[in-house]
Amino acid sequence: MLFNSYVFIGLFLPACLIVYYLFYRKRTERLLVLLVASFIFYGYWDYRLLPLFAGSILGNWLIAKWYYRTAHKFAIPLGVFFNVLLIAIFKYADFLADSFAYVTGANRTPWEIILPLGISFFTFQQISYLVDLKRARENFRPLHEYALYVSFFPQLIAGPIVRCSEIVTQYDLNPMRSGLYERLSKGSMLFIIGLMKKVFIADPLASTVTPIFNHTAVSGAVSMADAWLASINYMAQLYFDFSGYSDMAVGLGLLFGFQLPFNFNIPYISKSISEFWLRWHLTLSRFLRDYLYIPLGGSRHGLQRQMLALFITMFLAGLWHGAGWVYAVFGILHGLALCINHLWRKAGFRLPTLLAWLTFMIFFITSLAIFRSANIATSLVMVKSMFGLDGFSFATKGDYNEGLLIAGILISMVGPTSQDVVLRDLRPSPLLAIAMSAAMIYTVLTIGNHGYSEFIYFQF
Amino acid sequence: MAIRNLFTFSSEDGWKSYWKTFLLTGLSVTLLIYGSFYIIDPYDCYPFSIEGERVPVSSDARYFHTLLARSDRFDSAIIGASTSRNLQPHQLNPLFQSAFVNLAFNSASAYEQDRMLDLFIRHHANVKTIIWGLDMVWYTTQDEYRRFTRPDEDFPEWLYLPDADRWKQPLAFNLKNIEHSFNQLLFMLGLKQFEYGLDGFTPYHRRKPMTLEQKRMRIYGSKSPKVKKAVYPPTVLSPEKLASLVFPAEVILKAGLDRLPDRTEKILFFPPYHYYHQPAEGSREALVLAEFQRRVARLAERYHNIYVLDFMIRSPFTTNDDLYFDNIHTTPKGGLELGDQLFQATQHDDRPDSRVLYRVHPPKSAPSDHQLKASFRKNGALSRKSP
Repeated sequence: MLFNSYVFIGLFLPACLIVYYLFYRKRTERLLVLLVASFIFYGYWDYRLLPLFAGSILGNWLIAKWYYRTAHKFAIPLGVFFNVLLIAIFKYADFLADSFAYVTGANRTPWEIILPLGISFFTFQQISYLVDLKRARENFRPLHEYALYVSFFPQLIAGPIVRCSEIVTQYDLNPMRSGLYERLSKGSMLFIIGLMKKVFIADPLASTVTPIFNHTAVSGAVSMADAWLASINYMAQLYFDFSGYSDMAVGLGLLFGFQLPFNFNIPYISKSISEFWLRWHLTLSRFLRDYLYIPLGGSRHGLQRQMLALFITMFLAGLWHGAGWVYAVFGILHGLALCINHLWRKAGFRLPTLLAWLTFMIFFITSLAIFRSANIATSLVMVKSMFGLDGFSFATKGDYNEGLLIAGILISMVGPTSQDVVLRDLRPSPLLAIAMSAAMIYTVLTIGNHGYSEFIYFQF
Repeated sequence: MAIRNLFTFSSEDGWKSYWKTFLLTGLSVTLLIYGSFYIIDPYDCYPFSIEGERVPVSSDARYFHTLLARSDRFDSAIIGASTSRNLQPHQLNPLFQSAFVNLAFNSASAYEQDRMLDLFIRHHANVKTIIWGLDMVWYTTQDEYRRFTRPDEDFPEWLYLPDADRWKQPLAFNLKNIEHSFNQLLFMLGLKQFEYGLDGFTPYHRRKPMTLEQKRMRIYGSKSPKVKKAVYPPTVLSPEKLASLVFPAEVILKAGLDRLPDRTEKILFFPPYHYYHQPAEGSREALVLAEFQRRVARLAERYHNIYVLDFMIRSPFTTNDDLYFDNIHTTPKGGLELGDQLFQATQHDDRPDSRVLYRVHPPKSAPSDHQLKASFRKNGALSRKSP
């Protein structure tokens, strides 16, 4: 079920809210309502995925219970291995086998294993829980509380990636507590703003980006102008698609009385790659820092080890996005860029602000051209065209919406962020309520015209 | 990174008032929009709507042809895609002694055409004649076949459901329905007139007539005609390979024909694409088309009162640039010429502009189904022509 679908907006969400608030006095019952709703939400896509999803939750919980009772030293490593194995089979098996077959020159038929939705997100959360349990940062939780932490539908498919304690500590809070109307109002505002980002910016931008990348994949050629314009459009599309989704997730959390962390903070204003990762997909950056970079040594074991830790972390972060070499190359490039950026700063070099921003932008847009390409061959065509290695052609095939692109780029670079608008700028007034209601209805009517599309991060 | 505190608690009453206004506005506007849909009923398909004549108020034929398909003003229909749109009921009515409605529409997939035919049949117990244009959407093979030639959401499936089932799929909540309802209301109040044909025929080129040069630019991409080249060496597909081709629309065609009564005159035709854009001689496409035509002709053997006519040939018609709007669509004048040729083809054997792939002569009078079947068992084979 997609957040931007009729069935979600018109049926599932209102029904969930009504039933949830009917049980507002009873902690266990209202949590169970959310748990059942989350499983319905997940199973709506493909009910065949439910046993795997439930099995993953139960398996992790049993391992956590084993560790809680025995403190066995193998329990947590085994649990992490179990999660990595699961994601390796369902997400990477075909990719690894294809790569092996390519190297050995063998022919193989893909297994075509179904990729369970959100597996990267819910597996990460479960690994973080096990590791935090071992670090004594988490307590052992009853099954239904743990299951709800993993499956809570607002953040199940594409985050924000949260720590168990961040959610579970809110279970005790009565949803009818003081501030109810502010939560409901701000939650609905964030949901509407996120929905509008998706429908009015990300989706129209996608309709100009997709044909160019598809055409390049088929024809093996693209003009310099199209390569840049499609990549810049994709940069804007990616931000509005993912931040739109994240706004909706945070908004939905608020409607049920939960606070989820925000994921973005004007990322395209960054003047370096390290600043970018402190502004983009914040909950993933936090996860990578706490559960990969620091365990790999972080900055505590000398420069060489730190560089290696950075590089491996970003390489794995690239692969986390998808089972394909373009994602691996994206990760490698970002890993190298972070290393160079770190050394540059350590050496005390500084670029003028505008030049620093421009350098970062050129790097980031190039890396996105690779990220969005169907395969390595297409990404090479894109990058060569971008830098004039296939000539300087300024002809465009794309049907670009310049106004939308400029507006999108400006908002993503200057702000304000949705959270700032909702938390800082907006004050309750009847006029605002009517405007928000009208915006919601108009957006839903527009979805009815054009249909709804999946969010980009669902494929990860 | 800690989760930011979102709350000010500064104005709980203010937020309470906001939330109530938000919900109240949302619910009332939604109800108002839905209520308008059902009361104005732009497609004339709900029982409790206000009285009054409805007409097509938009070129969106997927919606408004349903209104015409349910109308009792007609007993015959033209089904097809844009290549059949220029067939004109006012010309065909006296020729076939029928009351035609043209239900063809742009980019209609085989599935959509069948849905339109099904709707027409459900609302007309005695269908007299069906003219059905089989263009490229019919002879695409498995790998290229698409159920919808436009995104799925553009086809309003709920409008094609039987009346008793329509409540199962509520009217779509979209801007298009608001626009249609508003325009229908303007028409019903006499405040606006619309030019969309009440018999389904609306010319798709309403500006001043095109010059021959303009037409040739659309046909050849140049102001002067080009010679069509055959593919050399010609493609060869073995009989086994041809037999193994899968045409997903074949099943749809059979299902459509199965629903038509024996007494209904069924005229299937392959529309006259301009010769320059027909599959080239010696090409794979030409072999695929010929195989599909062979199958349609064979399928037709199961039915009574049926013609399979081929205009997709090199002919005086398909080489006359003046009759074309672009590479596959005729002008309204070309549509009239095609209508005449269609009638002639049902009366005669092969003509310069058409081939008869299969034909069973209709009975002179209108006997019962039982008599018809007996008559065809006796005589049908005599009048069959093989492709």
